[in-house]
Amino acid sequence: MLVVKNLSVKTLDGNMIVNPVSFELVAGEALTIVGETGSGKTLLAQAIANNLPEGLIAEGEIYLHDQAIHTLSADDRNALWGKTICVLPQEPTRSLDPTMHAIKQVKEGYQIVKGLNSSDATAQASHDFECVKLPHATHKYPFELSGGMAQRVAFLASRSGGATFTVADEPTKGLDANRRDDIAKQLRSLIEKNEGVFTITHDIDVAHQLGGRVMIMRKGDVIEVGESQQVLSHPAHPYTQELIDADPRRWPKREAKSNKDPSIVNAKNLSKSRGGKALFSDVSLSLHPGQIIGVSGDSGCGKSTLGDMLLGLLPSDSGTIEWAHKNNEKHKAQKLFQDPTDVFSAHVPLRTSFNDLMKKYHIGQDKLTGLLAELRLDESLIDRNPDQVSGGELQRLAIVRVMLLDPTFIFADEPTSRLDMLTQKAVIEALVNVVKHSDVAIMIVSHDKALLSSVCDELITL
Amino acid sequence: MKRQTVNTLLNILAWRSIQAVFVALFVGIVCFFAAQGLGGNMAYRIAGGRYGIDLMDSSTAESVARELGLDRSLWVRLVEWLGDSLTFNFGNSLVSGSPVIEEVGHTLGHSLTLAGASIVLSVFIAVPLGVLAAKHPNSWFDKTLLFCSVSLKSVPNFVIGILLVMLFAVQMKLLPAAGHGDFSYLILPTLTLALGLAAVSVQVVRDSTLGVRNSTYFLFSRIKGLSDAQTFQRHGWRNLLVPVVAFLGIQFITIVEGVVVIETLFAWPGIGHSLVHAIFARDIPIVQGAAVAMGLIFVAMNALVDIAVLLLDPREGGKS
Amino acid sequence: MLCYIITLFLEITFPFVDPRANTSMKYLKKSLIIAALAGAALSLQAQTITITSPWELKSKDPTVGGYAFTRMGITETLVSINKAGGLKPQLATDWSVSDDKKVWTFTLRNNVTFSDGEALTADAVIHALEVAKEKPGPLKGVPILSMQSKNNSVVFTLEKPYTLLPAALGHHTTMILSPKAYDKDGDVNQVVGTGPFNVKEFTPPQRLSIVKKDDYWGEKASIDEIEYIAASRSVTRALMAESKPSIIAYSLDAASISRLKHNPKLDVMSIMLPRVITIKVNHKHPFMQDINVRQAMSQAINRNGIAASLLRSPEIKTTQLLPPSLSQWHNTDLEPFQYNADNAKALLEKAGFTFNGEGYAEKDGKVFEITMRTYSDRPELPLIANAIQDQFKKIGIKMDISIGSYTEVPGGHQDGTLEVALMSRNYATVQSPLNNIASDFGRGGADWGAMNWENEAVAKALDALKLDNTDDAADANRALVTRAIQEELPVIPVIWYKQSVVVSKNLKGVSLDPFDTTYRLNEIELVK
Repeated sequence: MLVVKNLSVKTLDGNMIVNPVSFELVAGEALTIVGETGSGKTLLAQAIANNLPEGLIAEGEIYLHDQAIHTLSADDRNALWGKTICVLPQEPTRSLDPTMHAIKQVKEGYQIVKGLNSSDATAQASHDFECVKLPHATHKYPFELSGGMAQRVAFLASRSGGATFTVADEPTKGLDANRRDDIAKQLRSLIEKNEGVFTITHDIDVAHQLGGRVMIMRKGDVIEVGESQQVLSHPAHPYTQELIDADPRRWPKREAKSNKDPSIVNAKNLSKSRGGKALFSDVSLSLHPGQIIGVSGDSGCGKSTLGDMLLGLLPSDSGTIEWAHKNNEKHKAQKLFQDPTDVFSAHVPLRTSFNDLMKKYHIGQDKLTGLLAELRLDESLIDRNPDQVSGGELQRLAIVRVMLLDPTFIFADEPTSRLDMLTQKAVIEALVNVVKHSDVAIMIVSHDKALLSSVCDELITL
Repeated sequence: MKRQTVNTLLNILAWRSIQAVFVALFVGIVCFFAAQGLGGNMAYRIAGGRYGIDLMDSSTAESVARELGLDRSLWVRLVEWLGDSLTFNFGNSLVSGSPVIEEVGHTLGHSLTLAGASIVLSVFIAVPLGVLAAKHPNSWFDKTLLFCSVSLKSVPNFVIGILLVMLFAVQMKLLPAAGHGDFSYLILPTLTLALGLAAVSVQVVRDSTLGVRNSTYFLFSRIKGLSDAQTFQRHGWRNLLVPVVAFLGIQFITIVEGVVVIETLFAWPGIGHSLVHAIFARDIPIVQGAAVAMGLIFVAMNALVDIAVLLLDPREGGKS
Repeated sequence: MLCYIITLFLEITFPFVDPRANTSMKYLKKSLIIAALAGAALSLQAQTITITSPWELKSKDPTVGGYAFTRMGITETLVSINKAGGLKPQLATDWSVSDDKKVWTFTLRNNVTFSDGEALTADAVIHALEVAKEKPGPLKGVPILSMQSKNNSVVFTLEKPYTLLPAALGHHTTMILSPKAYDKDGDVNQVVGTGPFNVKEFTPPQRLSIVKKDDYWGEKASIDEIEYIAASRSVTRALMAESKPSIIAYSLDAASISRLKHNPKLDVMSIMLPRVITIKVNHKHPFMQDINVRQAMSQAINRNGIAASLLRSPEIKTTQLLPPSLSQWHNTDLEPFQYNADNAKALLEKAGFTFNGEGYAEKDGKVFEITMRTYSDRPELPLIANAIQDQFKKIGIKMDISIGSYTEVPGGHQDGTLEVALMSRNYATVQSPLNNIASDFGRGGADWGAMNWENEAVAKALDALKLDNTDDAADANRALVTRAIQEELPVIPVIWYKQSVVVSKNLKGVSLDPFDTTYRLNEIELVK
């Protein structure tokens, strides 16, 4: 169905972003590209669908249904949209017109793209809504639909033009496990209808469920191709293995820590409201040395607020917080920020920042050396400026900085949300390592429940 | 229309009606006290406004004070105004003696005509240009338009007015320079105001259009297979008009209330102009009447904008 | 300043909008003509002329907005003004006074009808005057005992002699309207007069249009229709003058005049008005009660400088209280005001002042410090006040300026707190300056006149003039009054007013009235 020969993506000034790649997609068989952010997998999909961002150009040959579509003009390529190529949207809710009824947005594909008359198009669209079990949602506006419903409507809308080749770019981004499985099912159903499905994902599970063939991409190169079962269970390339292992769901479960020791902090019945709306109420928790506690919840639910409250950075509306350390030992409770550049001066070598800190708290050099070794950081790194080390390294250096102060408590506020999966794993491992070797307790805030459940002793959901 | 939308509509009307009553009362009372606080003896002022400064002296002022009962206490007069207002009797002008409702109605009518015509014309200028500019952002057309709109914005309105008068009235003798009468008198002040309004709104239209064009749903519609024109027609207009309509409402209010300069330049008998004169003459009933009328227009315009936005944007229906 | 910028702006932009300068302009013009609305083009073809002035139309009430109706020739009064500034018959053909000067008989013109068809009768006149008498205006000050109709004349019986009755009957507040024009409360609902024009449309505050009346008793108008537009901005009136084919534009500023002078289609006419900017002085003030001090103040003022550089018309500097156009009251024997700062200082020394280290005049340990009240309703007043402040400082008078409401002049007069005020005074609200001169400089002074100043000789002369201003003694009395004002300075005159009017050259017969009572529109002809 789709044959790609030496397809590459370049910037206008000739920088190669995706190196030439060739592959073939057979109708009735899934083709899934798996890779990290920045691996070029999305660009590859866009090069095929012809919706590359401005400033990027594709080179190479693309044959769709035996038509050499790379020779077509841009307008003719765009004319394939809907009729020949179906592109599933990444963010279904935002992809629907907020001012139009759901059914109209499906109907217009049948009517305008496929050319049905108005009543046939309406009938077709209603039928579609019934097929996805949404007959009640036809005359709702997108803001009245749940995320899952919107996804199904967008799925119908994007397919209403009649295309049999579907490009799905990260269709499960930011979704929970159930919804992810729904989408995988949808895509499977297409494959079973002998259509072509070309999927881009970072989620190994999705690749598993779709089956067919997978391509592993890294930094613009395809490093491994093969049958999905084969590649995902017996990867030939070590990077593929790393990628598989980086999924928090595949992390080894951390050993639970007992809470026999006296607590470090004991909070009771905390509540907070903002703008007249309660964020949370009656939250109680206690932390013991060596424990990791996770806080999860939707964005804006007050996860960070709870942590800042414990640190005394924000007042609580009600409840009590009791610390084991004395009032003059405030530095025993530390915060690890989402963005580590916040804590290091941008234009001085990291060593200077560390030296200033150690001087202030009378900390010996050997302690720094020990911590760097423990977190597997090369000591020469700290002679660089913050912008000269990678994001993952900087976050681990921030952990070192926090640990220098011998804290009893660390509040880690989304410490890995800006990092990709492999780096995330390294940073979380560093934190787990720190807990193992000292009596510190950590509270991690994250939106990734899988991550929290694999490392935390206790989970609070707000 | 959905029941929810109808409910929201009724909510808007109810809320705005309550607001209208409060605005009218508040503005009327504030005007009453503000007029007392203005400099100069009120009886002298009214006498001067009525008979001219030359015929005004302490004896005419005294007769005015007697006639109008200005020696009565403030509260008595305020209560009297409130009582009269409740029966829709807004009194007579202290200067001309004609009923406030007649005089304010006359000038308000002219102001609304001018403001309405200007807004309509500005829409006809700004919407096509803004939409066109957003189709190719940063093109020479977009940049030229931005340049024109910035230059036009930086020129005071009355300078635009004088230029237009010089071109169309003095040089070509096509249109009257000033005054009011048939339709031809409306053209130049309308064009003057519309150019000034369009200079601002064209950028609002452009930005709104660009926002819609770059929106995920716009791109999704394209990728669904609809052409650019089809997409724009089906998903563009309605969405881009939501912020534009709200902006036009604000513009309408500002020009009803703030075109004294243009009104005097074109000798247009608008409400701003008459309000200024009434303030000078301490013609309190007219000041109150004009200010209350303006306040009510403000409320009415907001209600219209709310309703327009409600009809354009179903998300508004969910709020109450 | 604003006017200057606008003039400059006009001069800069003119070459660009001149169609002769640019051929593409011609195309633009052509296309615009096509695009222009037919209605706009048609309206220019009608035989109408336009009058524009800054005075807004207020109401139908003769005392409030009546001046517009008499000026426009809709309504008339018993007496009118001739081109020499004297009284002439209008609705009254002649008038006489009894020997005891207490009974006046005004004979009415025959065969005059109001525009509603009613005949002008003595009863109609008396009805109109009865209403006017109750409202502010010169008639209120006339000691009338009764008004009676006798044949075709109106007989006024006065309490005491009052020579100004005919002048008062020329004031617009005494316009004669049809009895049907009034409602039962005496309010006017319809302006029904006897003049050469009828109201076509009256839309206050800015527009009035009139049409000629074919059965007018006197010289019939030649122009079919005239529109009056009140435009408060001078720029607007100037632009209208340039764009309308036939226009009379009143009261233009100096900057516009100097530009319009060069327009080949327009003539500029001007006339001195009986309006004067004066400094009102409180004669009870411990310093200013001394005549030397007032003389010093007068000599300190550089009237020529203010007139020429500030107001751009050197001829409006005062040489005495009233301008030559009011010939009866302009006394050519008087020595004109002089500017002499050195002499002014000498006069202050003569009055017992010394000058302190800062150069300020001091007497009895007190610095000569006064506050001048003025108002911005006439925008030139604060400017002139500033100039006077500088000029007073040069002779050691420290003067503050308080710009407030015009009401503070009569107010300050009444409560005695006023020291000096710069004000604009119309000395001829009726067709003779005598009325206001008599009240301003007679016994007791007046809100807009002398304050705490009395001169028995002047008061007697004015009383005599009020009894009879036509006898042999009248000239001598007027000379006495004008000389006393010149020497004793109950008020200090500064600047006269000049009315500048721009007239289209295709209008013939336009004349200006120093009292601004009439535009004499029925005498105007439109020539090709």
